[in-house]
Amino acid sequence: MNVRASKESRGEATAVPEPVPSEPAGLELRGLVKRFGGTEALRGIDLVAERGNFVTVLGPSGSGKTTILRVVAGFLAPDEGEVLIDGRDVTRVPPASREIGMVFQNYALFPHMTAADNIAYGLKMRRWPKADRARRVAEMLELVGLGELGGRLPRELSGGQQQRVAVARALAFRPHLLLMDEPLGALDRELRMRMAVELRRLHQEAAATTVYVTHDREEALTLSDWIVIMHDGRIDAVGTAEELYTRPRNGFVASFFGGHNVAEATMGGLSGDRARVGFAGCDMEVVCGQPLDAADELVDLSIPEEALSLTPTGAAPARLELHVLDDLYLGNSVRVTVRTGDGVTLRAVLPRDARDSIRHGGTVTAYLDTTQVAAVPHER
Amino acid sequence: MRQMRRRTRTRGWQSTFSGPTGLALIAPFLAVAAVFIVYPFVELLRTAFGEPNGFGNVGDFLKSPAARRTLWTTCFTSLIVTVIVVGLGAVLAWSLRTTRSRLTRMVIAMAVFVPLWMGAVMKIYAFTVLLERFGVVNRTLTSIGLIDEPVQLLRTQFAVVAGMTYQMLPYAVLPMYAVYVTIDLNLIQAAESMGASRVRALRDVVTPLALPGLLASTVIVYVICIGYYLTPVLLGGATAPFTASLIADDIFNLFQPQQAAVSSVLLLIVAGIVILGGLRLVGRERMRRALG
Repeated sequence: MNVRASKESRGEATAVPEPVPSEPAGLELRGLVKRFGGTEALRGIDLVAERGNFVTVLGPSGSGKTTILRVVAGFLAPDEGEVLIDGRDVTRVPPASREIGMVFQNYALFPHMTAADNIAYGLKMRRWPKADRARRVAEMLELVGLGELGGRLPRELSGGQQQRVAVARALAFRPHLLLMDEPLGALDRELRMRMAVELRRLHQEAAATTVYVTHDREEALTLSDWIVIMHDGRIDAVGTAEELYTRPRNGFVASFFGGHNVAEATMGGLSGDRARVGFAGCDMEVVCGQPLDAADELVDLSIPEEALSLTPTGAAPARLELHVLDDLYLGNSVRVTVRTGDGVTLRAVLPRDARDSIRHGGTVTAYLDTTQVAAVPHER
Repeated sequence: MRQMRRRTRTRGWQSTFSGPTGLALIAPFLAVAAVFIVYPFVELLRTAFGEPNGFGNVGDFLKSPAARRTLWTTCFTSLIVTVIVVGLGAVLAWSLRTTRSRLTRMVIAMAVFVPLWMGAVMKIYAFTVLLERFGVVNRTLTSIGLIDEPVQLLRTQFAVVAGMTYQMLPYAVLPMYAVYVTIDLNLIQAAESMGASRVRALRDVVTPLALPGLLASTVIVYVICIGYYLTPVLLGGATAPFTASLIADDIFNLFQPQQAAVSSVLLLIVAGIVILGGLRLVGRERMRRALG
């Protein structure tokens, strides 16, 4: 496993013995705590990201994701814990000596310097000879597809071009670690997706460990090797996009990352990593997002919006009678809000032709693909 | 529908009036300017360069060592005050810009605004209380044993510089603050992340971006300083006569309006040179932006 983290802080991250890595991790955070006044912005963050990985920190605003980035960059000192970059403890090292490249949300390009001078700044600070500097700047401009525009000032460039300069500037001096703070937030949707693909390519070429902060799920899906989900100053879950989507470990991950429905169900017993649950009058067997306690009476189910259909699908479909509350035609699909017999409201996305069989206030027979459903601990 | 269309104007909306309407609208302002600015100025020039010697009047005036000394004192003292004020103001304004503490922000803001609200006489009286022979400063210094007996503070160059610095500080802090606000603080962090020390980041990023504002406040402060009258008279006494007090003497005591006019024109020339120099250094466009 390339990334490890634990919800419980301080030292329990590596409770499971891991094979000793042959080289130190690209970034390691140990028990980071940061308080602002009385509130804890970070409540014990443990994270290990191997060299060259692309890790996305995803969380709602106020979850502490930007604070992590600022602590790693050295702009904030943690109250507790350590930051290690390539095995070197940099907790007390000023930002200038951490060998990090950073891309800011608003790019923070120097407005009085040309694109080329912006890119050269880090090289100048490292006293690269002039000829090497010029060569590297040309190389970076080429890499981000701005070959001819090195002489422009930032305000003479479009948003997407400024973004490229910011990335080129952060990568020019070959940092060990690249930090990005919602770098695509200021761009329009279409450009954002194009730039995301571009960032992915640049990351692969630069081969720097990358930590990318965002609140946009799609960006996280497009870019990441690993996704870290932050919630309320803690790491809630770590995994690949697929793991987090199909087997969320709790209701927050299910709804925030997957956009899934989270609905209450009764616990009928456990066998291995599967649980028997009762939901909407049906008994079904579903996978567990994390080890559950058989003594719990209630569990929550993570139900993806696409798990409901009008025809039986999957190995063990469950038949539900649903009351249609609302439907929204989206061209290639129909988004419906339905209610089960026992009053649970669910959102679902059905294929376009389902439109003929549903109507406001009517009932519809639908099938739940239980292989897509996961059981998570009950909350509330 | 047709009625609606008839009501719609045919001409697009414009923010400017052209021709006679526009002229009529600014006429009151032109009248005020003509009466209170243009006419007195022309009259001043006529007096200064009229009887007895025309432009030679300036030469005659500068033959007097007292006049030369006064002009020199005015320009030199103003320069010292300007350097101190702009230096202090730049730091104060930067603190005001960057501090996250409400208390610090409040204290600096009060320190900047209170002198603006107080009348000049009150501010000068406050300094008199501080600096007089048995005033606060002297008593403090005596009681901690730094000096054996009170020293002369009032009616010295020092008192003039201190008093003027205090009064001029807001004129430096406010424009500097206005410029600093336009500087994204992330730029400093960006520079630091690329390997610059904090000092280097300030030098490479903040200084070039703040330079127009710095020069603008230098010009503002200097130009106001050379016209100071009350402070040099009340805090400096006879030690540091400013040209402004010479002008007052010429008008009210010695009844030499022609001499007063020459002094005034010389002050105007100094101010003009400073303003033009400032514009040249920063560039007209950037200066205009810095002044808002």
